[in-house]
Amino acid sequence: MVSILELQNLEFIINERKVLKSINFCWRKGETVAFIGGNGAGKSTLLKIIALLSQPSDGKLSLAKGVSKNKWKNNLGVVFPDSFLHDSLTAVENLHFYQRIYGKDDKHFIEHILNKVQLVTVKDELVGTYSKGMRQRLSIARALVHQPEYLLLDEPFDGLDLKSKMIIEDILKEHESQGNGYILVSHDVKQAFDLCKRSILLHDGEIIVDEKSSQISLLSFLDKYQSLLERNENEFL
Amino acid sequence: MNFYKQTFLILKRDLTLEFRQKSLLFSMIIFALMLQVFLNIAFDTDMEAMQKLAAGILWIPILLSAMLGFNRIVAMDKENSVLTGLLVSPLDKGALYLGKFLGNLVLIFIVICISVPAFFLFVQQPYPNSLGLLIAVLLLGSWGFVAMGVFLATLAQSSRITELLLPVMLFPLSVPLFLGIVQLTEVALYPSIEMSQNVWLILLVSYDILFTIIPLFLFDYLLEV
Repeated sequence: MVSILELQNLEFIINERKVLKSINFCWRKGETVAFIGGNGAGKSTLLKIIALLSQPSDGKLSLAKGVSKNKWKNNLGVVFPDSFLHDSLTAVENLHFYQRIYGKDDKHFIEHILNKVQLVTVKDELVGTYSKGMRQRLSIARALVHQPEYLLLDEPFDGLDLKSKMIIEDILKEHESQGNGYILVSHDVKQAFDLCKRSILLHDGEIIVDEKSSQISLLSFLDKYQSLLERNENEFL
Repeated sequence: MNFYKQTFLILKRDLTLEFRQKSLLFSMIIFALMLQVFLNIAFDTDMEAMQKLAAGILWIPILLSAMLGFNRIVAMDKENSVLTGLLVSPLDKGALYLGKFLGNLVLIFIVICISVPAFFLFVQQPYPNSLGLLIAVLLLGSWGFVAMGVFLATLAQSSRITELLLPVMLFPLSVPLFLGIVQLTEVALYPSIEMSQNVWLILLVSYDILFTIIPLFLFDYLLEV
């Protein structure tokens, strides 16, 4: 598979603390990857570096040949814990704004994506009136509104009800079936295994496990994850 | 998407949000009118002395109400981390600055349209000496102040003392602009005051160009702070 992004010996330091240590990672076209780890493992920082929001302190980030930073951003949809939505705009206005920022103007696709996230009946209501689940679904629609090939998702299922979770899972599966890829940051190991072909366990800024989800058993992965979390707790105590 | 379309998109969004809520615009207008009233009560003096004070009475309400807008319009992008959403997009950061600058300028022009007639009503002066010059000074003066204000408000946003930091940075850097607008406003208002206008006009235009172009190029770095 063709590599779309490569990180070599990447380090990230904040306030003299190494948040990421010597990270080597290659993201291939159409690959679905899960970043799993406890709090402070460096998952979100890594995602911000991949989204070109943060500059690494050391190491190299290379994009595929002929892909500029702008082209990369154009092809990327991002879902972070904050929704990036304006409360005083309607769902349609928010999506149209973001779509045009990416140089597209396709109202039919906005309707289509709102239908997919099951928000079409409330599309003309102000986002400020939405529940958390509705906001999160709209946030997924915002990330997809310019039809990107790659998605970066930072804990998109946090605090959602079953219906919202299922809608987002379906969207991600469909995104993958179209030959597109995503990186999913999650605490839920089972869900990450279900949704991603490759699982990466991060601990204290280092990659501990990097395996195809089909080649490692969920139980042994969970054991490792659990022991790392316990080690973290003991260090804290 | 080209630079100008992106600028227009940011401008349109900022004005849509502002006109939908209306709170900022109303606050700016009421604040400007209240200041006009207070200043006219405080400086209730004869026509000769008024010639020295008029420029200040005209501009203080406009500039101080503009200050209300700077933090608010920059903070608009802090809601739900919208700014992060824009930073991960291919949006030109110069277009973001220019859109926010133009949005603020529209609000100031609305304030000017209400505050300046109120000024003439309160000081009981029927007509300016040179209406063309007065309009030019109002345009150039508010342009320069807003250009600098939006830039510094964005810089101050990353600090915990945003509201304190903005005036501390903005007023000293606006001294050349104040000198120009006060001198030219006096000439525009009163026929008895004679002065070379060109030097001050060149100063205003230079200030406006400089402090519109510099933020256009520095805004990208500024947002990384």
